[in-house]
Amino acid sequence: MGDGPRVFLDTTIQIERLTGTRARRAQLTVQLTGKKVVTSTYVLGEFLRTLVKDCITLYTLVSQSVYLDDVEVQIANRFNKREASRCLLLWATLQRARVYGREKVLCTLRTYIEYGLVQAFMAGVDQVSDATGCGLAQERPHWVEGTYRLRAQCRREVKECQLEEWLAAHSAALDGVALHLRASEEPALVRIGELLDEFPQEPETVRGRNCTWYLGDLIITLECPADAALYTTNRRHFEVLCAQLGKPMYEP
Amino acid sequence: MERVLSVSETRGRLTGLVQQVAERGGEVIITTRDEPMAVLMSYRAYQRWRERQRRQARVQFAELLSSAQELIETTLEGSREAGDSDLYLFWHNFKPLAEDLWQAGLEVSEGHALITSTLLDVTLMVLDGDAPLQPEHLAVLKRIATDLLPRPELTADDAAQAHRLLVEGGLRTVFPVEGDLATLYEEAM
Repeated sequence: MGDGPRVFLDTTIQIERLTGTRARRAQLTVQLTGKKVVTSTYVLGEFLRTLVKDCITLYTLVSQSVYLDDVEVQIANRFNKREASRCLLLWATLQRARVYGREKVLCTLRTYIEYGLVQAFMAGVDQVSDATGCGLAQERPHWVEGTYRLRAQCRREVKECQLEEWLAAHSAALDGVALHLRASEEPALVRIGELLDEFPQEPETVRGRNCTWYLGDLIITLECPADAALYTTNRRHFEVLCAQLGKPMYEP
Repeated sequence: MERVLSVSETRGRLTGLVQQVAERGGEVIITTRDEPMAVLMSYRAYQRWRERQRRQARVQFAELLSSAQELIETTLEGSREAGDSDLYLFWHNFKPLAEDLWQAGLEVSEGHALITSTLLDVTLMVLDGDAPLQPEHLAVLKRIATDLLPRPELTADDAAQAHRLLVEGGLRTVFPVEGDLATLYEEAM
């Protein structure tokens, strides 16, 4: 977007750029104009396993429903609050774009899934760093036997990224962080602390669900370049991590 | 060698044709109104053909099972709690696999056919329902896919065991009946 100060976008902001209210999206555009916008392949992986996967879920729900109102009932009945909220945010995006009618909804969701969402992720981004070599970031939805599939989860048994090596290279920066995080009252931060403690003895512990569920915030904070400010809506976790790792947070 | 004869041409010649295919091999394709309808072949050739078919089915079954195991493992790794959309997408992705497993299972053994047909029924019923989906359901599928289905031969008893695991794991295996299915199984045992 420009040559000004560097801003590193977290997944929450990348999702808000698409699903936020009109006012919020306009605000984000203004805030990022003139800045050098950076994000990462790890953030892209998170984006794929949240918003893009939700879009596939929505597509599947619509394709299986005769009436569109059944889709909302299914979202309410089938999904937990976290997942239902994200699906409804996407649903609202369709309403905002005045996409009504089952066939038009399916067609629009197809364009979102096949390229629209990833294109929107990249829009206005000047640089995508690839510190961890995240294998999931390379995945894209593909059509198999009447439905979209997306491999959005890695497994501990299969090494497909450079996360272990990258974390080991940052051991000096991480020194002391585990101790501080384990003393936190926030369970998610305590878990990161525990995993950092286990890591030297058992490096593969950072793969699979430990990577995608727990270590994401730490990875993103570490990925944020020294001269960039991290922009996120999740201040609860990132304020602690940024303070520990000496990274500034973006204050609009 | 392959010969084509109409039904009327085989009348009165069947004994000779049977002797011919049994001793010299080859097949006779029997037609009705120029449409191929049946094949006459030696029993030994038929057995060989069936064995080849079973072997191919076993290979195909093993490949499909490996895909199913991978899908189950990956979904279990990624799903945190009941109502995760990963679970909903899992059942949708599992459906075509379950259909193919059942088709291949028919050729593998009676137990494979029974278990895979139950898995397909379960999948259809899960997709037809509207309850939140549970990660525990996948743990049951994983047990069946890793402990039972890789065995070379399965019996009706093995199928009953799979059935019981599914019911105990909270999955409906037959269309709704009165009463609690798990209790019905306990009473029968």
